[in-house]
Formats: sequence, structure tokens, C-alpha cells
Amino acid sequence: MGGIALEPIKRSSQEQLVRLLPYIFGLLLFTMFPLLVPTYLQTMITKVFVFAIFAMSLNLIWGYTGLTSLGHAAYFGIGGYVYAILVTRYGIESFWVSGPLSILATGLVAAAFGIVALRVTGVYFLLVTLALGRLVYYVAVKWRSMTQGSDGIIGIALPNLGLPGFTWNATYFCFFVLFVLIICYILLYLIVKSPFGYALQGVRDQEPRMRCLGYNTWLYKYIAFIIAGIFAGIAGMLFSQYLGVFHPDHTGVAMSTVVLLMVIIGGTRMFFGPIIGAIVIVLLEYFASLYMPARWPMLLGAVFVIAVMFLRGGIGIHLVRLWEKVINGYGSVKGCVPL
Amino acid sequence: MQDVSFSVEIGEKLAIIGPNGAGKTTLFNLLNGQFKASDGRIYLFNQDITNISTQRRAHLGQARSFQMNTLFPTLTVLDNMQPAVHVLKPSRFHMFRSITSYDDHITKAQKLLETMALWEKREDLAQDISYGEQRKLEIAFSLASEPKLMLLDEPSEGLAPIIVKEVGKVINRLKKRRIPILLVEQNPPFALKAADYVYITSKGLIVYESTPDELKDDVEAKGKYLGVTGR
Repeated sequence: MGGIALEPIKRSSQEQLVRLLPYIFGLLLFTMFPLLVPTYLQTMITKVFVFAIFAMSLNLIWGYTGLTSLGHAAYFGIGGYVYAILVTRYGIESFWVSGPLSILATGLVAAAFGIVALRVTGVYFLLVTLALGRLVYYVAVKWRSMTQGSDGIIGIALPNLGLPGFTWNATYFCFFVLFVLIICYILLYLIVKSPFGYALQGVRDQEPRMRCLGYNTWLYKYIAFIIAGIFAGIAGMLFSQYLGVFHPDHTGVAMSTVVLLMVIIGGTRMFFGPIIGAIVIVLLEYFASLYMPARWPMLLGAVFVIAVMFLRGGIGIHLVRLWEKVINGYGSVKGCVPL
Repeated sequence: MQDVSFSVEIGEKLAIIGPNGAGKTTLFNLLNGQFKASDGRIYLFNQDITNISTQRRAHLGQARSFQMNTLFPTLTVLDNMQPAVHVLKPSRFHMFRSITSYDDHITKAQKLLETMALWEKREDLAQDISYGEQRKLEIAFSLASEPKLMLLDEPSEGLAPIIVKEVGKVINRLKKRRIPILLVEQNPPFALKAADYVYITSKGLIVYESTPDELKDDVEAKGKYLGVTGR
């Protein structure tokens, strides 16, 4: 009975194709663009991809679970540091060993921090995550024997994939990161569209109600917190490979703030919003560094003010609305996305 | 609340009425575990639930509707039902399967929405349907978890009389399914019609109890507690 009665919701194949168009277009853009531009732009695009993963991971707990973390760079830093230490200090060459180990380490740290941070909610959660972020930062600065302190770890090689006769170049690495980004995108997308993801959104909007229905809301928040930490760790690991250097600043408050800005600018309510935010911020940073390096923080602030004043809900939602207008005709209310 | 003691039997409809501030919602919060009881015990089917969490009570069969709407305003009516139909199944922890692929769950949501005449509106956002429909969706929501005891917090509050009648019908339907109901009301006529037995609370105490018919005949009590004189 269910299947037949649901007919009106199921879309025709043509309509489905139209819905897929933005994805096809985005994928083509991301795959073709690195091939057409010079190497220095390729590295910048790689950075966009890394931060896209980072911002998406934050959006899982912020946009979908309603937990605003001001210490998300802690997990980014741990992913990067563990990978860097395993490769440079312990000489574990193979990416297939060091990669999963650093992801596991991030997950364990997120699991430990989550128990502390999720004892409180709201602004207090923000403050506790800030404190935990500072904790990771100071460990990175003070534990000189392991992390080289404020000098940072240098000489992190590109990942050894164990493929015979394969040598890295900027283009290959760009596609490697893009590949990881696509996997992360699909995994996170599946999570937010699953019963688990719906429950997270329920916890975000109506926590008492979800508890009444019988959801252990704390456990949901905790699992989401760990998953977000793991994906941030993946981003951090890729960032250490990308840069070849890993520094305490990469796990500091400034990094947490930048990724928060990416999510704000891209929009928390759209799944792909953080990717847009990552593109905007990294591109702006790049051009600012070319033309007015000293003015970057000011420019970042201006972008933030503009985003809050004129792009309420983020760029992502406006793009979706524009797209809805294109396919449904101007002024249509069909499928209109609420702010 | 002090010295409150009562029990609900299977298939029974019990109403608690009283003015604002009489402690009706506080009582609900105690029964449902939002507040901790400082003294006394609460039993559900002979199991002591005084110190267990709200979500565990839900798994034991306790469902509750809220006085204020607690729907997800920016989700569609059907999506609003989703967390409720998944909660008692292991699928509530599934992470890598789309929520729209659970046909049996959607069929269940459909049945519940049809009983509330909301299936036609399944693609509307919860914030766009009328207040009465939101109240009905709220009850459908609580029903989805197959409750063995329903706590209804002022289901008639803020509704037009005709919709109050509809809510009354919904409550009668619950009775047919032999789900015991505990009802909290500020609207005595509605509560008296809907319930089998009535408690009147005032300032945290139960001050009067009887069947609705007896209360109707008891002019003194009516005047004292409900501010009604005459028959």
C-alpha cells in the first residue's frame, strides 16, 4: 500500500536528472578546473578541498546537531600531528597504516573530549570546546620532544600509497584530495539522510521532544561529535601532507574561527554550504595574500559582516533558491526552501 | 506537588483539571521524567520508574504530548513523523541508509496520518498547516511509538470548539484501542466529556476526585473548584 500511495512524491526520471544537474556540474568543475590552471592555482584548489572536508565535518555537529564548537581545530590538529609524527618520527611510510592510525587517534581523542564537552549545552558547550582546543594547542607547543614545539614538524612527505612506479605531482595530489573529499561528501550525505541523521536534526530542533519519544539524545550528540572529529582529523591529515609542515597554529583558535566562518558564509542548513564557504574563504585569502597581505583579517571581518547582513542563512541557501527559480520558473513557491 | 496518589488502569481515561499554576504540568513533568521527584515513587506497569530517564520511560510505553507544539516547523508533515516511527526500531541508529527507503515505516506513518486526516498534507511544511492540524500531528507523533500509556497535556488548548470536538473523537479512538490516557485540562467541559474519572488539583494538591457524572451533580464542588454555579 505504501509504495503505491507514495507515487506523487517519487519524481520522474527527467526531473531526477534536472535535480542531479548541479552535482554533475559541480563534479565536472572540480575535476576539470585543476587540469586547466597552472600549478600554483592547483595547490590552492587542493587547499579548498581540504577545508571543504573540515567545514563539512563542523557542519555535521553545528548545522545538523546544533552544537557550536569553538575548538574544532583540535581534531584537525590531532589528525595532522599524529600523521606527521608517525611518518617523520616513527618512519611509518605506508599511508595505509599511518592514515587509518591517525584517523583512529582523532576518533579516540574526540570520544574522550566529547564526554567532557557534552556535559553542558549552549554557550557553555562553546566555552568548553574552546578550552579543549586550547589544551591541544598548548600540548602541541609544550611537548617539544614529540611535536617540535612552535617550530612545527617539517618534512612531511606526500602519502606513500604503495603503488609501484607512481610519483606524486601537484595535479595528482589535487585529485587524491578531491577523491577523499568525494568519499567524505558521500559518507556525510548518507549520514544526514539516514534515520540517525534525522534524529540528529530532531535533537537540534526539539531535544525534550526527542527524549520523550524515546531517543537517548546525549548518545546521538556524542556519536555525531566523534564522527565530526574523525572527519576533521582526515582534513588535518591531508593538510599536513599538503603543506609538508605542521604547526601548533593549525590547531589553534584562529583555525577554529576560520572554519566557523566558512560554515557561516556557506550556510548551515544546506549540506553543500560549507564547501561554498571553503571556496569563498580560501580564494579570498589567496587573492588577499597577493594584493594586500597585511589586510587579510580586516577583509575576513568585512566578508563576515556582509554575509551576516545580506546573505542570511549563508550563500548555499541562496544558490538553492536561485536554482529552484531556474527550474520551476520565477516566483514559483514549489519546493521553496525555508530560511 | 504533594500527597498526590492515583493510578490509571488499562483502558481507562483519567482527567486532571485545575486552574493555571495548580501544578498539572509539573505533575506531568514528574511522571515523564523531565523533573526528578524529591519524594515518593512512580510505577509504570508495576515497574518502579521514579529514577529512570525520560527516554527509557518512552521505551517502556509512556508517550506524552506537549502543551506547546513541539513539531519541527521546517520539515514536512511526513518528515515530522519519521523520528517517531523509527524510535522503537534498531533502525534509529542506521547511518548509511536513506530514511525514505524504509517502506514499512512510511506505511505506518501513513496510517497514523490518515487517522488524523493529515496524509493529504504530508508534503506541506509543519509550520504551514493550521494550528488544529498541528495539534493533531502532535498526537499522531506520540502515537507512533505504540504507547501503552498516553499523557496528553491540554490537547484542547487554544483550539476552536469544532476542532476540540475532533480532538475528543481522537481521544475516544485511543480508548477503543484500550490505551490508558492521562489527560490534563483547563477546560472542564471537555475533560468531563472525555474522561471516565476526574481529579481536581489546586496549589499542588488533589482536592477533589469523582466520576464526571458525580461531579456534575455535586453543585458545591463545582462552585468551589470550577467556578460554576447551578447545574
